[in-house]
Amino acid sequence: MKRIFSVALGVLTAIGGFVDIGDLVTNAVVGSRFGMSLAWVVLIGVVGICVFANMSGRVAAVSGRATFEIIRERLGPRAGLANLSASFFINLMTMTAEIGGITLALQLVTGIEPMLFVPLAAFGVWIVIWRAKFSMLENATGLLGLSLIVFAVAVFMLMPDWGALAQQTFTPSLPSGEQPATYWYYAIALFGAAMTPYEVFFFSSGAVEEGWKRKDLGQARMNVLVGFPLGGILSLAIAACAAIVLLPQAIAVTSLSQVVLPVVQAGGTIAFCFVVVGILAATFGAALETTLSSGYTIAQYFGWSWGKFRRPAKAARFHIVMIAGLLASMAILATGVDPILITEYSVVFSAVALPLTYIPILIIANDREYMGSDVNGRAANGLGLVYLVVILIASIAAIPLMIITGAGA
Amino acid sequence: MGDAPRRVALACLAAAAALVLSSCASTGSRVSDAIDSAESATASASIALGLYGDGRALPGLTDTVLGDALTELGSAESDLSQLGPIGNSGAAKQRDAALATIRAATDAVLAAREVVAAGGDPDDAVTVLDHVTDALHDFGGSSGS
Repeated sequence: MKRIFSVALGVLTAIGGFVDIGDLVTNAVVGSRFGMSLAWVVLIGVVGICVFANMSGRVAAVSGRATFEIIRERLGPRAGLANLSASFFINLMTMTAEIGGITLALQLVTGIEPMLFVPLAAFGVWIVIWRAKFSMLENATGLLGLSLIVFAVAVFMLMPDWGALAQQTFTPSLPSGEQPATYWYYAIALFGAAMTPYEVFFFSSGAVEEGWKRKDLGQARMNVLVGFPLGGILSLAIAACAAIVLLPQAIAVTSLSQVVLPVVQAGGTIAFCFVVVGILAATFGAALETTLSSGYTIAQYFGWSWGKFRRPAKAARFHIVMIAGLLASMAILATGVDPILITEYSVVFSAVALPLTYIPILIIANDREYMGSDVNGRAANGLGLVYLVVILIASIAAIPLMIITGAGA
Repeated sequence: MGDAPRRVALACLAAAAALVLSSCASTGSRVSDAIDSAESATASASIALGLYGDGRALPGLTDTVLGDALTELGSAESDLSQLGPIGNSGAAKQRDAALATIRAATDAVLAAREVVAAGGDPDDAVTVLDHVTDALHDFGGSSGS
């Protein structure tokens, strides 16, 4: 019974924790501009994050080492440092976007300028990381994030033309007024939103935090293979809501307030309460994960003591890096930059940086010295190599498409 | 004139022509982009205000949507204002007409925000927002967006 509860909790947490500000914004933007014609990218992204998380979780459980410890060992200090710099920068962008997302969610309830909530949000993230247990912070935000199921409920309550939605999904075409380059730019943004690197830093470091062994791999696989695809359905529901309500009125999403309008139209104030709780949990949870990831990556690279399983005094530099990261995010948001804009850039840069972490993990997952008999099987390697090609194409095409399209304008 | 200088002169002329053509195209597309953004903003404002009138949206959310719409309209107006002097009188007239329509939309959203702040009946404000959204849509259609 305890085992079943544990598996169910893990799956539910994975569903609720799948969506973050990047998924919320990118899926809504895409739904409002392209309808469901980019749904296939969500599918590719979800399978991709399942492949990646499954591999990195297995590497961490079997070798007992997390992503950046291995990257430094395999790539050497210099190439590892270049990798760390790029990964840390992208993670900082994502962390800033998530903290900005918390403030925007609070604005939806209060109507108060989001800038005023920045110190409160950053303090909240810090105190939870400082005081709460690892499993507690992961489970609480993941379970509350399940409130985002209200997007899926809203799709049914809006009573859409199912035939039209299915046609957009299964015979994708370019809506009038949109350019092919913009379509592909947003395809990469959606892919980056589904496969953000911090999820893997957090997942693999979490495996070490929670002391996973080989025997825990089955449960970890279940969490990933059931939880993430169901989380992907939430992403599709966000896009569908925007496609049903906003696209016909030529509303291109540029703010979080527009993302929630279809849900409020469907279910009024009760639905609004659910969506706000869900957005707060999703952004707060992702802010915790990105903040921890900033500490994980740097501490693992430099070989410092790290982890929430240690008392803060025993991992002082790990905690100082996280505090510095939070202060940097606050400083960025204090310039008045739009958190939605940071989000849009962060998902694209996530796609750019993806090979930096994916390739070392794929190599290690095939290394018998680290993995023994748990190296990738043929099927895992076949899928891993297909995704290597997809990730490389997305990474190479992202910046040129960003320039050509004026960042999807 | 030798071959080389002639080629350079021709290249310069071609580059200048390309620059003029691209600036014309960019004026038109920037007007069109600004109108599209403004239409998106007023349509969002209209939905939010309608939901508020039906008791389905809370004042905080409605005010946030209206505030975001104002930011979007301000950005559209600023984009058009920064176009600077336009040689082509047709394009200049189009820009001025677009600016006037966007300013009317801004006034409508500001009025809607006052209605929400005062806790008043938003029906008239919704009607005005729908009108300016239609005007922006028609303007976008006539300018080829």
